[in-house]
Amino acid sequence: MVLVGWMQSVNNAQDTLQSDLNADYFVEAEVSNVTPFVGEEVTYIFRYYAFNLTAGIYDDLPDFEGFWLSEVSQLVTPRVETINNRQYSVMEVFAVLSPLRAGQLIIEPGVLDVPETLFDDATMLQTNQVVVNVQPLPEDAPDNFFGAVGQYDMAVTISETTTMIGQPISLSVTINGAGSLERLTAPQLPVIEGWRAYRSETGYRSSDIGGLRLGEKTFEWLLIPDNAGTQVLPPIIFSYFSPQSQSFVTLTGESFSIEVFPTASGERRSPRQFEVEDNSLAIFPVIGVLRTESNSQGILFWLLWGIAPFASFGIGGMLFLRDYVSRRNRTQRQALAISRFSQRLTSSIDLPADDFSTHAEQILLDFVSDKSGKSLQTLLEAESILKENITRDGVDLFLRHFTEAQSLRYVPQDYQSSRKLYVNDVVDTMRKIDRSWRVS
Amino acid sequence: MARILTILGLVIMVSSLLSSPVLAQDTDWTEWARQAELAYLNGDYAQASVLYTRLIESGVRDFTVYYNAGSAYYQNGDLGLALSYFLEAQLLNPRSQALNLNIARIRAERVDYLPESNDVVNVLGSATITIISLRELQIITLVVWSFWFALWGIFFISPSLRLRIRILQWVSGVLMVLFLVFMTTRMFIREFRGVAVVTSPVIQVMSGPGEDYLPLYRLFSAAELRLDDVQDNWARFSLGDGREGWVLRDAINPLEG
Repeated sequence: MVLVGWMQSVNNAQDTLQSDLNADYFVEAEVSNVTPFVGEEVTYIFRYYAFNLTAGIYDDLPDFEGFWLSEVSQLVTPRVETINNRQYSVMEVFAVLSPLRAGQLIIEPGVLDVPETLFDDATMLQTNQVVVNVQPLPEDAPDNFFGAVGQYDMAVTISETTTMIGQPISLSVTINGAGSLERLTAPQLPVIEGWRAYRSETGYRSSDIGGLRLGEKTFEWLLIPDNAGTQVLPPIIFSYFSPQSQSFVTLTGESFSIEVFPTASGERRSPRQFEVEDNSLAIFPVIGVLRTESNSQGILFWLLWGIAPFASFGIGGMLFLRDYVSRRNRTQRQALAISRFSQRLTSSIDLPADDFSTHAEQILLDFVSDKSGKSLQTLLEAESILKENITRDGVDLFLRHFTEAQSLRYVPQDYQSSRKLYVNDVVDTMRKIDRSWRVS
Repeated sequence: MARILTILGLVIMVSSLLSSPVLAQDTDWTEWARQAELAYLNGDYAQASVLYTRLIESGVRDFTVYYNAGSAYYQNGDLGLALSYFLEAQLLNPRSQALNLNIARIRAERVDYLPESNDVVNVLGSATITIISLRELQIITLVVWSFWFALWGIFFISPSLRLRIRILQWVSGVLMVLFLVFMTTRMFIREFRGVAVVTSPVIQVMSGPGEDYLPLYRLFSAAELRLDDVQDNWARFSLGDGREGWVLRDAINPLEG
């Protein structure tokens, strides 16, 4: 969108230009009208003059505190302006504003960042502050004035001039002209006896013709008749304040005569959703104690929310910890199984024959238990575990050593050499079994 | 399983006890209520309104009193206060047919046509308003929440039951999310976007918090607003159709619920 012309310059642009005569780039800001009325649209223009085509980044719009910001637009392509025999490219940004209150309003400076180039450092340019003196609206506002300021026209249409009881017709009010149509609220619908009114669609569109922002806003109501007969819809009245004539203008729409036919079953009056005769509401008797409950729950209620997750994940966490500790112990036992076996068997070499034999059997079973992480009592259980984890030859060797341990019960204690041989042999075998144990 | 059910039962019992209202009995209150009822039945709606309002202002938060106050104001022709008290009553007992009919009656009779806002939070927050009170919703959500976590407890303790409780876990999980969404949106709306009802016959909406701002449009008695901000004696609000503005704080009645 391009907006040009019709500007009443506030800050004399030439003054600014004189002071920046030799500047390669500079910025300025102004508004189209420095003394608008409350609600009247004004345009804020931010200009960036660049002698070379230096790119600038428009940093941020000012706050526009005290204004209603309707629209922001900018020139699609920069225009060229010659100042003191120097050609400048001029970029313009427009903001359409309406002051919301009377008195002096200040628009803070706009800021533009010029990035670093081969020849120049990065620069931040700042416009002047713009002062707007907003005039209050006159006191004598008509009843139908709801804040519209500008220059408007109104057209009122209805969809049908004949209808039936309960059949809606559409009443449409179109307001067009120049002003802050975007904010415009619907004109007051007069109370129409015997009709129900429901607000329907609202449409808004705007365009710019020759720099003037024109718009159109449409309000629609659905009107439903409750009684048959010829009925007159009173005119819609819309008032606005015209800054040009500095007075309130009241527009009165057309009055419509509607023929309402009875229903298909011949009824001349529609049963409304709620009959007026049905106004006698029954009350409830106050029985017993009166409650003083608050609608908020106490702190204890919210603490209850923590119990379930705490208990559930507490149990889960404990079980996980237990499992973790058990797995860690098992791994340790597995790693130390052979050294424990060797140490225990060697230290029991001096035991009496009977004890040594029993001891050796238990130590062999304990080795399998340590390696597998399972508790076991019998040779059969040990054999089953061994079959799962080592080769057949290994199992046979283990069984042979177990049988030998049993037979050592009958060897006299003096025969230490045969016991030592047995210990060396079985430790050697168990080392091989330990190495070949399948890792689960 | 029996132990878990016992624990769940205990949780529900304790939560019900904690959430049960504080009961109060005051002879003045009973007398005022009796007088208000008599005044109403004799057609002295103005006196009935005054007495019911006195009860409410003295701390009574009772469905019957709110409902009767709403009825008295309605009969007295004050749609704004009537709707305001009916809406308060609805927060305590949302399933009362008579109450919901009266609310619909006032919404049909008031001047302003105000559609419901379409934003997600408002739609979700309003979805349960005529079905269940916030307190009930909070307790049910707590029960479903606790049940879901109890199932997780079983999941951890007994691996053999994991397969059997899987469907229950999913169903209760979905229910829990659903209830949580309904509960939190209602709590959010209550805390940050409270409802207020216009109680003056007509109010002028301004573009800012002051008389020197631009007058925008007018609202009539019983119009419902969503409060966004309060500054001194002015309140900023939004309507279901997207309109916004500022009104004098004294001209509206924010719901306490």
